[in-house]
Amino acid sequence: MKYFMIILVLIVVALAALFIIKDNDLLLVGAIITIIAGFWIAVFQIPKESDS
Amino acid sequence: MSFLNKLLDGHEGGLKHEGMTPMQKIAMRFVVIGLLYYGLAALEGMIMRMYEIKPLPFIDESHFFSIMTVHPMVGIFGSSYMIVFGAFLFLTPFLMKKPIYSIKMANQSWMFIGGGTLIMWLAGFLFSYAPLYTLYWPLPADTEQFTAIGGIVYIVGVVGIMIGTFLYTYNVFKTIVYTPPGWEKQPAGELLKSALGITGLMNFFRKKDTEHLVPLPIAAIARGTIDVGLNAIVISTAGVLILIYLVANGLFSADMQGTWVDALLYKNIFWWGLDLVADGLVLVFVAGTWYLLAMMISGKDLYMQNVARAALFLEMVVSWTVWSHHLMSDQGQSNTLKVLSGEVVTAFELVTQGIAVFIVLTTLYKAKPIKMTNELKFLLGGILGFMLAVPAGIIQADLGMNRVLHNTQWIIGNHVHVAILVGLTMTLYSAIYVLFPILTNGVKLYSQKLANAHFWLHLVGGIGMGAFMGMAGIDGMLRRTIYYNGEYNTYMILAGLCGAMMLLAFVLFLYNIIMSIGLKGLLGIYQPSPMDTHECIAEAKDK
Repeated sequence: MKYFMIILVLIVVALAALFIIKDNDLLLVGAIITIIAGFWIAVFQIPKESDS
Repeated sequence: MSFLNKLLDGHEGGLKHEGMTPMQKIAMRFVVIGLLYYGLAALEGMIMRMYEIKPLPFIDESHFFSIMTVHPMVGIFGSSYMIVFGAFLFLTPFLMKKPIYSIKMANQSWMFIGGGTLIMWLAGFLFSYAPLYTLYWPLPADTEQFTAIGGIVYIVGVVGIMIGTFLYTYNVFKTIVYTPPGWEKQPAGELLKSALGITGLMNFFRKKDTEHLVPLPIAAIARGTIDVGLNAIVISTAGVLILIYLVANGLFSADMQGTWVDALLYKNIFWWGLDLVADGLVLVFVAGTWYLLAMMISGKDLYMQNVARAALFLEMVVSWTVWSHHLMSDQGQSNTLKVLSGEVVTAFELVTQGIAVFIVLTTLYKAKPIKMTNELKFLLGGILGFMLAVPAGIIQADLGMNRVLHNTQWIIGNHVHVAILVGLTMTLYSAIYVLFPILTNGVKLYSQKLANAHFWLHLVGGIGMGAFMGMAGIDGMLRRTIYYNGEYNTYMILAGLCGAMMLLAFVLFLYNIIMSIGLKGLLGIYQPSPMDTHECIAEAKDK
């Protein structure tokens, strides 16, 4: 579930970022790095989840 | 045996679906729906090809553009995603020699993606929703030309596709790392590191190499699946964003002026996500599939395995930084991004793709003599497709050439359609021909002549259609434009004939497959399997 929760948070974060960032290059790169890093973390949660 | 009997029961007894495992059925379910959506996309394509020669009286302009809006989505998500996901959900447990993590989740994946595609298609068919660039064009979502309800239905469909995609992503990674009941504890973290290429990367800095825990095709599947997931986050975000505008502005007439998202920023993020699939994924998944096919066809290990792994990692870096070639005509886009990401990184795709082509061809060459089977023919066709389409892409990703080629038929013709129809689709056909006997417990192909006809019609039709569209583009024909006076009719008639060849190729292929497995077998794929096993293939076939 953690994986899907992190994805959900990432979508909300990305959505909020689109409304907030406007045309700042640095924040754009920051947003992309956050999405990559966030998804990476989400994928690394997968092995830790119990096998049910 | 009469024609009717053969149609119902299949060639030499056809497909005995009772003997199929749940995994075989799941893979076939994905592939069959994927092929049907391919047929739908091909039909839509032919309608548009005819319309470009002479507008058809029974289709008005708004409907023409709604067909154009859903056509790429049906082709990419309804067809390519479905076939690729079906094959990889089968191959991941098959190659890892362990059961899939969740059969239920795999079934939900095809239902969500198949159903989502249908809902999205209905938005075009019922509501003539046709903003063309819905998901990759600056906001605001247009509620003046198109109904808000059409847009909402469209986005709901897209969200369905993305949910199916997330489930697929989770299932693939979980299958790689989990410990099946009764098994010795699997090193989950190390397996994931190996699958993502971190082990391979660390080996560059270690004196003693750590062993790779997953086979090379699994590494390719895992790397590509990362990009699929990231793209799904971006598309879901864009979808929710559009939904907010459609509901607030379209249904409740709320004033969203002060909240408008920066158009260039949105376009950057969207193209970044889309190119994870359009550039990165196609090359990563395709290279991985080529490697697997080359090994299966030749029966030998891959030539230069280590370089292949390194190239896959490099391709991921390329796919994350390549998007700016889509924004070369945007004046607001920074020149640094245009040159570095748009030109330099894009040109690097020639290197990564070139390495993949070299490795595959050398593996095949070293195994000679090898028989020219259907899978080998289609594999070579797929390689040819990318060898044509990738350089076409590099040509248009040049700031000078882009001034001439931007938004013309060149882009969509000899780059996009040759890449997808000749490169990707022929690779997928090769995979289908390889997997067909494995998934159907050895059903024989009904006709080799039909398979040959399928190959040549598809190859010549695909390259021809792309080439004639490209020629029209060089002469100035824009994409997404109707020419009422037949200004480009020489090219459009030739492209139409080539398109018809491809449609015929698909009909012959479908006929061949249905006659091989029989209608009863085909319908049986969608019935629950009587076998209670997570294994890919039943050990005793007569069970």
